[in-house]
Amino acid sequence: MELLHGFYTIFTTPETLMFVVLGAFLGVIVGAVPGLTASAAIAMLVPITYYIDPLSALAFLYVIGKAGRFGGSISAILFNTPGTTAAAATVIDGHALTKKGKAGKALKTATVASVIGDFIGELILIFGALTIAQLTRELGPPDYFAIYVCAFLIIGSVISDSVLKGIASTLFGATLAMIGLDPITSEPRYDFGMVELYNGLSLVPLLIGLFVISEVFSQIFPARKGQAHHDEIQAKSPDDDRLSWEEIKRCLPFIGRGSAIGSMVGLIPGVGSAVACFVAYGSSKAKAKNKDEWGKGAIEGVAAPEAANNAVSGPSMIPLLALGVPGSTIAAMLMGVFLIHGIQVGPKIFETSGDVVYGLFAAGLTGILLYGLIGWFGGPLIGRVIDRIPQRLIYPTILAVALISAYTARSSMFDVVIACIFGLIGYFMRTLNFSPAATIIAFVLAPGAEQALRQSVLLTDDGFGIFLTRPVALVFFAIPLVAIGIRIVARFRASKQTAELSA
Amino acid sequence: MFQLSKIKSAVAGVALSMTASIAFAADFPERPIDLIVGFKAGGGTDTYARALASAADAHLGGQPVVVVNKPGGGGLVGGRFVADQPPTGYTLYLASAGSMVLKNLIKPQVVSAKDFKMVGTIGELTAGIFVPASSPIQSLDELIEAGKSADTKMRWGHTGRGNVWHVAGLGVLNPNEVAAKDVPFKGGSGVRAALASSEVDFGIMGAHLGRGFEDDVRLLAVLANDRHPAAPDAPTAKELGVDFVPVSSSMIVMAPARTSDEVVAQLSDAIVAITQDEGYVDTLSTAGLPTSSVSGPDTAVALTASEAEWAKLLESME
Repeated sequence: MELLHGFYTIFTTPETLMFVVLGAFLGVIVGAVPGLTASAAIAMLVPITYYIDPLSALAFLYVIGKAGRFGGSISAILFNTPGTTAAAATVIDGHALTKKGKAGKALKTATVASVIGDFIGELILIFGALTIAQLTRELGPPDYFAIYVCAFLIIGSVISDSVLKGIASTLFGATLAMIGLDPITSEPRYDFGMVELYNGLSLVPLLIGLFVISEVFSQIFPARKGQAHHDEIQAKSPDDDRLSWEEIKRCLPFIGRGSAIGSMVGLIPGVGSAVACFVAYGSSKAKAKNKDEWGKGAIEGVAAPEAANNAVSGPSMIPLLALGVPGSTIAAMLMGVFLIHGIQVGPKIFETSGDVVYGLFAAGLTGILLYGLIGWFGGPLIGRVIDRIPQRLIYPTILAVALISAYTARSSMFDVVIACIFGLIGYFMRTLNFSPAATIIAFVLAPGAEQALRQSVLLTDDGFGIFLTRPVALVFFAIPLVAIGIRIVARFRASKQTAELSA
Repeated sequence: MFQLSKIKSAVAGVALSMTASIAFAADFPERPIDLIVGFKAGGGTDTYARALASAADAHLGGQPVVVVNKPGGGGLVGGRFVADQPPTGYTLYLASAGSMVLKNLIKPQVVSAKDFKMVGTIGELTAGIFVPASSPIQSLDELIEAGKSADTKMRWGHTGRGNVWHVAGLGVLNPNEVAAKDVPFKGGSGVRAALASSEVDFGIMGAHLGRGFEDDVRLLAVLANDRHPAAPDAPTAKELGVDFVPVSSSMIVMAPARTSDEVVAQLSDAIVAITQDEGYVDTLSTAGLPTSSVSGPDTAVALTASEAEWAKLLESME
């Protein structure tokens, strides 16, 4: 009932509706521009929202976050550069499809998957927020540490062809995350006496360096050889731009699995879309019948991670609304908007500000529909427009935008230098087949994991014994062990069978 | 240019009045004032800055205050930036002064209160001591008794070692000889979540953070001399007669140290007027954040006094 009232409010208040529409457009665009992430854009827009009414302000930023997670897939598919970390897994099959001339098909698959995933996540938020919050509130540092370990192991097993290089890339990211304040003693470490490093490296310049600037560098050589971009992207037959009903049906189980994984990940504060997309990609690949096609342009390989990264959006609001703990960067900024408008975030919010909360849910659902329409009809158009622009204009523009984004996130020249340094590092990582994505994810996850581990040990006099007393933690430790065990047994049996056959 | 502005101010001075102070008011401020916040948009300090900006122009001759976020270094990157700006009064710094002073007491930092002239205090966050709602402990006295007898078995949560709320906790635990083990969490919401799940036995965070969470956490006392507007029913440690050193975080507007005394005095008057403006008070009270209205000179005196007390407290730590 309250939800219907929320829709009523949205559609009878032209100002709010305008911000929802604007948010959907803006979100897709900032998501699609490599290096300009949805959270960086929201950080820049937060001050503007202090001057409009709370529902419009929240709806605006919330819808940008949703549309931005989808928009990231556009540049992932077309340029081999994820527009946001959330689209890092989409690159694998999405860009492979583009190389086959099936960019239109890939974009439509991404749209359908994102919309369905986001919808499922939003419904979980609307109908389950309070119930689920009761379950997650009992989780403490030991449980979080187990969840982080589980995520690390699952991601590590899918991210790269070479296990060793995957591990090396992950460790590199974790090492970078060590820079900054020690989470327990609060003493600065590895800051090399630079005050800018006092709180550690920030994510945006690192992301821009490793993904965007390094991509620009690696495009220099093909461009000089005169390889034309539009040969790759042009559809060979009209079918390549379409998505048939049969194909959608083929993707549905993967979208469902992705949505479930994304929703679960969204509930855990601090883990986020980047993890969701890789976990979904990895586990869906393992279940797929056409495993050989994955990585070479399977539409299921686009559907699973795209459903997952958008399904994170709704549930990541649950810890914020019910516990006052922001589950993602975007949620943290929304909390600031609630605060400035005098709305106390916490379990009582549904009673004290129910109209704003349900209005926000209605805005979320409307926003999903809008970016879905933009993506379905506009995605291929964006692709075609970009296709017409000569490469010598595209990449310098991307570089300029990337440097500006690196500066604006914290108004810091230091961050621009960091982005450039990591651009070079990223270039060499790519050429040597290391995984920048693994580095970024480890960088995002390591601080949470470290803090959870060290808090756990402080919480008891038994040291590591605390993990044995936590059933939830034990379950999460068991998941990757069982998964790896099954894989080893399967491989052992397979090699035995081939041995018997050949004998 | 120089000549023109001189003539302008002279004309303005004559036209308006004979008194010197109004002659100043006519040429300062003549453009928008930047207020630098050392934290991201949406945080507590930022909320104060935005509330100040929204009520400012009426008291600054129509010139707006523009909030600029320069996060990093626990707020100090923004502070260093302001300290290096031309001392014209057009670039000001909103400091979470408690944390700035404490950081400098523990180890000299890139920027300290000595790099600034105090313009005024616009708010003050005070600590509250909380237990989980399910805890059998009902009062601060009971907690101190339990803490003494439990030796180091009890666990308490705070927002980071050397952070204001950690030192505020020491300010009540040390004098009462409670030797509980501390566990740092990320921000006040982290402490609150740990309390809600009974992960820790008690916790210290901003007293305003308990509002709306009455079913999860119980505020035993406010660690200050005065009651808190967001929790008017909670007793203060002073009322309870508990021995403690008050540690709080004042929101202080600062100007680069070489800014002229006239400009600082003018800004101080404006800050006092803005912080008594209804719009300012209303915005912050709905957010549950306490306001103050203290002039520049009084701020400087108060800050020096707390610095001396906190230094003693930190010495007793080691």
